[in-house]
Amino acid sequence: MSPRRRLALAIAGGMLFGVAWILLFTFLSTAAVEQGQVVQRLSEARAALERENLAVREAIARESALPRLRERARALGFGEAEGVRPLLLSVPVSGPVEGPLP
Amino acid sequence: MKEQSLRFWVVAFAPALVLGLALARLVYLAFWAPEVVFGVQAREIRLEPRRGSILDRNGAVLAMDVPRYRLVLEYLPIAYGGDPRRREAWLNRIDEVLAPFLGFSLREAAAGWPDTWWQFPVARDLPEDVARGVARRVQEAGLRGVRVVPYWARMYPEGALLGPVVGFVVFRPDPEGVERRSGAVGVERAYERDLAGRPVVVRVPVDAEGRPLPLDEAALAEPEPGADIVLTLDRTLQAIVAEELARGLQESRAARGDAVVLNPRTGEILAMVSLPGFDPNHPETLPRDARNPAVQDLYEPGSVFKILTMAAALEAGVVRPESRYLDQGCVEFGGAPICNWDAARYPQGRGWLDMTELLVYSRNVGAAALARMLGPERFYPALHAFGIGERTDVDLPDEAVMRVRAYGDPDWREADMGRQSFGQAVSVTPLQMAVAVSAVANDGLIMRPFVVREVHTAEGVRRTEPQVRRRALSAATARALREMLAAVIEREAVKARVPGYRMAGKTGTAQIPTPFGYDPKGTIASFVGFGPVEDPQVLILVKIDRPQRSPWGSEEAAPVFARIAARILPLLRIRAGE
Repeated sequence: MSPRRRLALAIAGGMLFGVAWILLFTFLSTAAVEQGQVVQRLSEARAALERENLAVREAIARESALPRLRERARALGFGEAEGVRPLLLSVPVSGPVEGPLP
Repeated sequence: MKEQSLRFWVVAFAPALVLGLALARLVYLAFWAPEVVFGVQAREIRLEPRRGSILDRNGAVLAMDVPRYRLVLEYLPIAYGGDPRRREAWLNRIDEVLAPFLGFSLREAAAGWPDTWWQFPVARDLPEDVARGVARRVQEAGLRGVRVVPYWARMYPEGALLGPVVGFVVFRPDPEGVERRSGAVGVERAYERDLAGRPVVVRVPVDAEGRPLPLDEAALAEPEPGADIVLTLDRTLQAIVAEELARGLQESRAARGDAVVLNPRTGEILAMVSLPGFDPNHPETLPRDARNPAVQDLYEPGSVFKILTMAAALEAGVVRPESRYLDQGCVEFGGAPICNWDAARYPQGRGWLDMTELLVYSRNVGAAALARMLGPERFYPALHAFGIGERTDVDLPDEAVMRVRAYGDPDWREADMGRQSFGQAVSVTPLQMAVAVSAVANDGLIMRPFVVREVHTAEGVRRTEPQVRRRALSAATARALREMLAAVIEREAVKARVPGYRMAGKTGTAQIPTPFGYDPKGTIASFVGFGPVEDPQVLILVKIDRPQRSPWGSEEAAPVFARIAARILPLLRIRAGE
């Protein structure tokens, strides 16, 4: 084989190797991007669930806030206790009766 | 042949050089400097953390971050070209899809969109369900250039009830110059570092339409949410105190007032109300000086200060509870006259009174006599022991304090001490007054007041332990003084009586200083009391500014104290003693 042909073959081989290498790299990069997108989608789904959870917590906080509770109580017919004085009860407290256990 | 070869090399050289350079550049960009590509085709995304929640002592939410959404239109010339007709068509299409759902025209909302902006927000404050609906419709219709951008909004479900204590957040630049939310008042400000969390800035490559391409783990980094904070405050007690204070203001026709409820044994603040309050949900509508008056506003306390003068005199041993003095209508002190509040009715005073009667009838002349007996060398150290003239070290921002003009100061006059003995010429905040009197309720010990009980961080729970600041008086003196203050309610300030409980306290009616002397028209009516006397577990201070019906603390503040105590003592599971 003439030196020129050897050189041509070497160049062709080198180019083929280069192209193959670039193709492999592109393929791996694409795979990485796709995997990353999958992970990102999952991460976004989790974030969306967390936000949904927070939205529910917000609704609970709003509904259980005192102004809202009063509003709901009024809607149910309850009114403010005006001029009510607490009735203090003195309840005798006695301990357990000593004696044989049943 | 040789000539042909030469021609080949001459012709091939230029394309080979160009291709070679391009290849070299590609290899360089791919392996040595990928950030160059990212610099052109990358976006910096700042992910804001969720700010921590603020809860009351029973876990009720007082402040929390909620997800909200902004609807942003992005006109991308790369996708649509620069043709105005195509832009119009694009806007029409968006309007067609989203306007029926949103209930307003996006075209009209985007009317003010400047030509130089590639992005324009058309709606904000969208809740989760609406944002999801928009996103679904955008996807179904295959719309481009419509983005639903999430952000955090601060929500205070209790509204104005805890506004001054919890505070609010505003947008302001952080040390790096980035506009961020930060606490402006109250707990939101005092615990900014814990609540704020840590944002993340990720630099991610994007495609031609600006969509992120996740290439590495850094793009998946998440911000660290802020710590949740549990307060010592109880929203139910807060609501009761606010309700009774509001009623007091209405009945006395006063413009404003404050009330503080604390546990003298621990220093925990159970309720802190200032009316009128403000709603932290709308910080943009608040005045620039929106603040917490119970901690940031000073006033002359008036006769409630006699508690401290009496404590100092008893502690120093210059008098005992049964000691007597001759009460005169007016006396001279350091060259200035000091008169009792009822000098017109009793021009000669009430005659011989013991120390309990001094407090019961709130004698200015008697308090001045005690100060004279103590002398400035003992009077001022005693005030210092009660924390007068210094901050309480409460965990709330911008606590106000005013220097007490004291013995040894160049501007001090002897007459000052006479006036200070009954609460004039000295200024305190409602919290400082409450904390000073709490020493009497807590066997002489002054605790550091606090509003934050726990901070829940990712590392664990940080609890605030009760902390003794100092001993202001002995336990024996405190017990004796408690009995004397109980007599005040039993014998004179009858409107402060609480059914079923034996309480102790003192009225205060203070004149309001102005640059031209005391205001002849208005007073500050106050009452500070605690109970049950045998085992004080709660202290309540009520302050009403400029009541119109009656100027007296015994008439206006004492009933509010009684109503608050009657409602909250059973809730605190404090057993009735009678």
